[in-house]
Amino acid sequence: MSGVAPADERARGFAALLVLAMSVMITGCVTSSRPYFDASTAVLPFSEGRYDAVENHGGLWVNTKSGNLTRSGATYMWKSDGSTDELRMTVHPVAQDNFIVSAREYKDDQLSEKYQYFLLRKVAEGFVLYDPNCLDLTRLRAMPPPLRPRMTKNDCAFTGQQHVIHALGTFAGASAPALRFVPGKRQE
Amino acid sequence: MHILTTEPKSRGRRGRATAAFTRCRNLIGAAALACGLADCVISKGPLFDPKDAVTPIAAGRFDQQALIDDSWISGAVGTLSLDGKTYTWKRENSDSSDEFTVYDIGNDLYVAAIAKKDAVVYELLERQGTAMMTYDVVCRSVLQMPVLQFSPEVAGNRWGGFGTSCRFFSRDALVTELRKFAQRNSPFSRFVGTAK
Repeated sequence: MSGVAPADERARGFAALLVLAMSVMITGCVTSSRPYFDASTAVLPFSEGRYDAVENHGGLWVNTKSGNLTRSGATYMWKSDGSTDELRMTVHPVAQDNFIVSAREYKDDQLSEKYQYFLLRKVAEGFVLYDPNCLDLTRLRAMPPPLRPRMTKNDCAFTGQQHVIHALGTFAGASAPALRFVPGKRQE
Repeated sequence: MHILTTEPKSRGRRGRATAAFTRCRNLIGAAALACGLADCVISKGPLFDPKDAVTPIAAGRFDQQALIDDSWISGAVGTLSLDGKTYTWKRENSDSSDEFTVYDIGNDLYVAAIAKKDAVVYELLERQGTAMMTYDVVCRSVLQMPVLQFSPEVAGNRWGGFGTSCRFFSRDALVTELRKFAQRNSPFSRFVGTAK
């Protein structure tokens, strides 16, 4: 363990920056600025249609959001009810019933430059999602040190596709999923 | 025994943005000391008897640091004072302060109970040598644990922008899950005594 930042840096606010942390928390921060997955390897394991996002509240599953999953070519689009934003995703197989989702936000007619990564696992009733953030990955005791992401100025840094696959896989093996997507009822 | 002592400052890697860890952290650092109720582990009323409080930390000036890429990065400096068994933590350049009491739950683990207006917020501490490590326990992380023996009541949801809070109803439930949390996760930050 080496150093400690200088005093002037220290004085800069923890508190104000923590507000930023709260916003990052929502989207997670396993990201890259260039794609780690080739779109040509994308698969289509999920049916288009309406889904409920059911949140894991400590073993109690609570429906907190619903939306529509559509597809264009190899790209899935997820749009939550009442939202104009969209998540555009390709899905890549990594193990039996396990997939890495490479997603970009589409907002205000613009596709974000960042790629976000999640792990999806197909289950009987739909699929479950693991979306750890940087802290979740770095402090998990089951995560071998080489798989821990490095922190850059704004995000977690991964070395590439295999790093993302193994880090998310290790996390999922030691964790409960955050969300379950199950086929939902057609919107009235 | 007082577990925090003043350590000389080491010359460290410079320029590592505190933004790096604060942006990707989802919790509030030492937590709950800067935490509102969102994304915290809470109870409505106190789960510990104040008579059982312990005082393992010496009052003084402390540097709160986070572990980033194997280096300890300073996040805030403040003063810890002690009145009876009640601690008060006040960060420099901040008008607010937080009062808390500390309870020994064994194996060098302690629970800090921070009194807030409408609830008690909990943080998990661990004594490691002369430093007091903090786990930065947040509701989101508790819900990631694969098996919860005592599921908390969860308020809020991930879409709301303010995170969730996990409410426990008994001391046994809280302590059981916090011990498991420490088995699954490493501490993320620490308090180190520092000279003015």
